[in-house]
Amino acid sequence: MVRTERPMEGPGLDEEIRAALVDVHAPHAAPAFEAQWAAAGEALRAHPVRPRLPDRLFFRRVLPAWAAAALILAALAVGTLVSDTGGRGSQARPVGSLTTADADSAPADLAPVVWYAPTDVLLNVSSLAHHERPAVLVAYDPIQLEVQR
Amino acid sequence: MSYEHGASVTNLTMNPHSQPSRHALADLHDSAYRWALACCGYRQETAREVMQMVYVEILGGRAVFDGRSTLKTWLFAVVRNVALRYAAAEARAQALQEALRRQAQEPADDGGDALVRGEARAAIRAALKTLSPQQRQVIELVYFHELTVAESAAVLGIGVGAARQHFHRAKRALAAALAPLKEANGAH
Repeated sequence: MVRTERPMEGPGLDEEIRAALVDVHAPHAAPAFEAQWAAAGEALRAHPVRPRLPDRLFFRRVLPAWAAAALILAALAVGTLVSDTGGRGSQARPVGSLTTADADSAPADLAPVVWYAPTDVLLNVSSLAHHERPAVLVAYDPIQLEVQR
Repeated sequence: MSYEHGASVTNLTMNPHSQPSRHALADLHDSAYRWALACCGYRQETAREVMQMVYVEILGGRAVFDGRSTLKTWLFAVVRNVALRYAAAEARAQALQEALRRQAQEPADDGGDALVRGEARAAIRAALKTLSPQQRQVIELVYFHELTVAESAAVLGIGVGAARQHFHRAKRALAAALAPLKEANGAH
């Protein structure tokens, strides 16, 4: 009986097919297993076979997925690192615009460094003429401006 | 499976959890050889060499039985893969010799016809040669080696639906080969 998932159609046809295949194989005799097994062993001793990759699925699908994930994480890490260290305005708070000619000549891309007065009061330089307050030193590296009252 | 260089064949042992036993392979040897024969166009020398290479692959650890299918299905798949590789190498390297060998084998095929008993078997045998390679292989696996269509699909490395299609189309072709004989018998 033929092992299939569907009911057979015409058992006569099945028997004829099987008989035909038996006829096809009839002239051929299989070589002895022991002889072939021993010959395989001899062949391996003469020419050892390199072992195959242990897990094809791992190297074909899992490893590439991990590699892609690692690349993405590395790119995110590099991007975060660059954004944290980039820009010059993070450490300084601009006190306000200076009205002196020296301030105007300072490079625009240099952030001012604020020096706190003893009373920790920050004043706009342009307002110093109007207030009795400790001076605020605003330094532009390499240009230093000093305002004294 | 463990194999040590220089060890005698009789000392070869197999881990039952990763490789089939030598006994099991010996039991399947005849069936596997006949399947190799079908994969090699029924050339005995080629089939013998293919079986040799199959056992080298198993002994060398390149073909590992993982238990996901029956041992027979796994072994047949290994045989088919080795036969395909062998056929590709042979076709590349010996194209002219292959043509000469086919010419030399034609008388043998004609001689084989002498063994066919009955017109029906002769008609089916002739019809088998007209089938596509995959149709012929599915028919052989199902009818001669008694595998299911699903197991045949696993051996051939194709989907079960494709295997069923090959199987039913092949059966229709073989039934059509018998139709003229039935009509002739009915007329008598």
